[in-house]
Amino acid sequence: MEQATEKKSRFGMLIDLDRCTGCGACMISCAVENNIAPAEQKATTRTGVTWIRVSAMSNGAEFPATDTVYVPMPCQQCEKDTPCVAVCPQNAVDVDPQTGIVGQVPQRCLGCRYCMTACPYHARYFDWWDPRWPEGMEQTLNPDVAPRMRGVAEKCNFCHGRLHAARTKAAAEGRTDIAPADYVPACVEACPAHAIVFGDLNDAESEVARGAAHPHSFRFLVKLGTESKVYYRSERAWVRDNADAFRLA
Amino acid sequence: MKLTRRDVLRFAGGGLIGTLFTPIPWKLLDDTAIWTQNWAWLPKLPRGPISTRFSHCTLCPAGCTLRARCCNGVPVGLTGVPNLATKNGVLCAAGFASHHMPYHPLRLNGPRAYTGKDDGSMLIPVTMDATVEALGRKLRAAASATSGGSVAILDQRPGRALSRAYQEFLSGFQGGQYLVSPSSEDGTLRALRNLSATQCPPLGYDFENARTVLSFGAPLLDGWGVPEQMYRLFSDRSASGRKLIQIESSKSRTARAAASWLPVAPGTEAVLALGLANVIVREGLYSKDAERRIKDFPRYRDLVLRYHPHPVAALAGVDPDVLVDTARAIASSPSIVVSGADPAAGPADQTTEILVAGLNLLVGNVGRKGGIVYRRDVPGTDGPGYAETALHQVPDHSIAALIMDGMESGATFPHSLLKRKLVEDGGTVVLLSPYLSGHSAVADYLVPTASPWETWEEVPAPPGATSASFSLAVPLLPGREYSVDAYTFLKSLSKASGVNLEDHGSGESLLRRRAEMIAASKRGMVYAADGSEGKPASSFANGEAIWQSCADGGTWVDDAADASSKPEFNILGQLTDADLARSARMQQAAGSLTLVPFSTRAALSGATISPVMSKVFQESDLRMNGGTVLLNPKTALLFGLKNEDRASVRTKNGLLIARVLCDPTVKPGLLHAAVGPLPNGTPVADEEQSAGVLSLCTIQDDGSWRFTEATIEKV
Repeated sequence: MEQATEKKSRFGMLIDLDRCTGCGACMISCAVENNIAPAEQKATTRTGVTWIRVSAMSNGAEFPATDTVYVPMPCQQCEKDTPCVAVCPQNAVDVDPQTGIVGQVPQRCLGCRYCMTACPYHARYFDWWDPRWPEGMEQTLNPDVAPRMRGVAEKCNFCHGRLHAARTKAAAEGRTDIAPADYVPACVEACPAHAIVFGDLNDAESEVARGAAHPHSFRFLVKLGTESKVYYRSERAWVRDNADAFRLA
Repeated sequence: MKLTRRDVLRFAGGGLIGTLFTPIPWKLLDDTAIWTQNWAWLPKLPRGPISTRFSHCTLCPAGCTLRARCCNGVPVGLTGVPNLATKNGVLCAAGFASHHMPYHPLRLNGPRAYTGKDDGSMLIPVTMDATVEALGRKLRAAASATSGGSVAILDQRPGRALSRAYQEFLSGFQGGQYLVSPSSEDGTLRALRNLSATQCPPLGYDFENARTVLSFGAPLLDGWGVPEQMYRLFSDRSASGRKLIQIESSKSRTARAAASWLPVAPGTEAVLALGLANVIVREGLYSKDAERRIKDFPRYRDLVLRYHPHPVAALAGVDPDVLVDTARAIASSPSIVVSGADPAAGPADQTTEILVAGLNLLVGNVGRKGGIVYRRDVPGTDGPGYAETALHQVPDHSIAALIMDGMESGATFPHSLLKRKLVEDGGTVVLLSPYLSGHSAVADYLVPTASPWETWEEVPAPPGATSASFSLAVPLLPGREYSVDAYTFLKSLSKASGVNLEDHGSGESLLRRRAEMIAASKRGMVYAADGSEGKPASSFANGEAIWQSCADGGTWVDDAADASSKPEFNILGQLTDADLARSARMQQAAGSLTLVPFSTRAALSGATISPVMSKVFQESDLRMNGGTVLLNPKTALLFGLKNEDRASVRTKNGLLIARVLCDPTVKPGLLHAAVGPLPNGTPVADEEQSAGVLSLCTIQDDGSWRFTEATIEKV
């Protein structure tokens, strides 16, 4: 019997902090792509849902020596001892061995928020309210992504809907591997400064793998040993030095 | 065996404990989780055939090309279209959600009129016929000699075929004024046009070929001009070889990405421009052509020679060596010097705009590749048009009736500026807009127009573009029965007010006529949205063929203009020493701060935006909402404030309760106040609230409102 097997990938991201201008296009394109509802009136920075959140990180110096970079923070897609997987009592979080993507299954989620507590990057969010759009705006929802109900945790999954679409296209064309150009998360596609690169870290020739190996590339909180698959890059030494302190303004 | 009550209880208790060791409770828990996630009110996803359409964004004048993914013909996702031969390629944050706009909760669903303006205004529904009739009467009265003012139209998106119709309409009134918004992108070009002593063609910035760009506070990397072009040219400072020098009080997003940043004292930009000119003149670095083209060159030279770099640098708070190096940099290569603050802070003061324009003339930037280049108007609008004046530059109390086109300019302005330009009794203000927000609070009549995606809209060349262009925003949704086409409304108004206006049919036929004129001119190239090579407009059979190409997302781009034109200029004109002294420095009283409003074009200024934009200003602190002020931590300490405190900000114009955030990128002594949506993310029509921080700003004599003295106190 013939069996089609997708090659094993490790999808990851490289974000150039020197290019990021903090415009927020990634946050909005993500919300539109993944049907994340607009904020309720009471929502705050603590209770809002942003699968990728851009925060400012300062060098702590006084004016005018002060310097700032903007840090887009999606789920870091931890590869080893993934904290949210370890604590979930419902098996609502899993790591896809074929892609390395840490997925969230909202239908299994009880809303206990252990995963949010465990996540060292604060990249998980809880739906405090029903997902609601102004009347008529439901027509503009992405038909490929189901909105999540109040009471569950959610997070970035590297636009899983797009992965499925790329796989379907590959299958239709008789391929077992997806073409890199067919699978690009919304934030990567949206970035006007081309600060975000996405691809297979297992492919040594890919831009993301080559970029990740650059001496100025780093990962946040590497001391925790979670082997995250989202890399950052900056020529600014103070940014790299802060990678383990994780001090966002 | 006797069954006792105790046995029953033991059995029940044992059963209960035993049940805990079965899958039943866990299955119940699991199923409950699933059931509670499937309520009937969970939004249903759209179903239907998927298709794509190319169009253009109309949320701001950049007019980016986009691809709409549609389900059942309704847009469900937007992406920018990269690799186009034309200038567009990516969308901004607001652009990604522009397909939400037809469903905005503040959609105006019929004409409205304010009554009882003096004793508690009330918004009441009126019929379109009654609105037109009442406005016709008011326009006739406004045009009469006794009104003390004139009829004016504020066109926030000039350059459209509709703009030409507005001008034609105004020509029917004695002293009619065609106004544009005080957009910051146009500042330097507007000043150059005003300084020209001879006929000056339209101008544009040739950023692509510039080697050095000196920006006096223009937020080049924060929504300015065509964002894609700016990001591409300046976000990677090491790769391009282009040098961006930013002159700005605080370390903005643009300043941090610039090759160098000069943190000037607020209000000293005009003096700094004179200091730069001093170095250029003393070292003989100015263009030899400048002496001939600047008619008042001797007077200008004498003026700048009084501003030696050392005292200027001391006044502006910058290093004199950096000042000298900056002057040499702009004189030694094709360069552009551009002024302008962000959209909320409004235009730079008039003196700064004139002196920045003067710097461009001095080093020969005007009319050369890599500088400020000439361009032509769209065919059919060539030749002298109606005089175009920025709102802040018209005389005070000169407008008796104002029609505001609700298309967003990306710039915002205080309502007090508008009130100052109206006649003493307030005059009549009509707003054509799809939404009950923004300037609706100061309008007497609100006329609902179609929202983006509901009608054909023309997307002309963005401000500062090097060539004229023509593209279209495509209607993918049916129009609402209550909304009117702006051109049709204008025709009704012309009949009611007794003004002759040539009837071209509908707004769509007005645009088709423009396509015909482009075809007849046989100028320029038409680029398809799929990135294929452009075709000369002369190869299209007729205007309908060009229309079809543009309706499929294509763009017509004009040929380069004749560069041999050599207009002459008077830099100083009516500028006096008193003007220079006034703009030299803000005198800050002890214990006070300088209030500087800030915002981002289109996204978060006075514009109506998608509710999902809450992600950036409410659910995160990436952008600030309208109730936030930023202070340097040292300044905050001086005033006994800390992060997240509530404070009252007071100016002579009013008071605002705001949330305080400490930000080390803000210059000490400045109080940056965000103009944007309210903290809950909902723009409102209430005048007091929607005016927000702009209501605290003092309008200067030249109509600018960049700096206002303020105090802050913890509450």
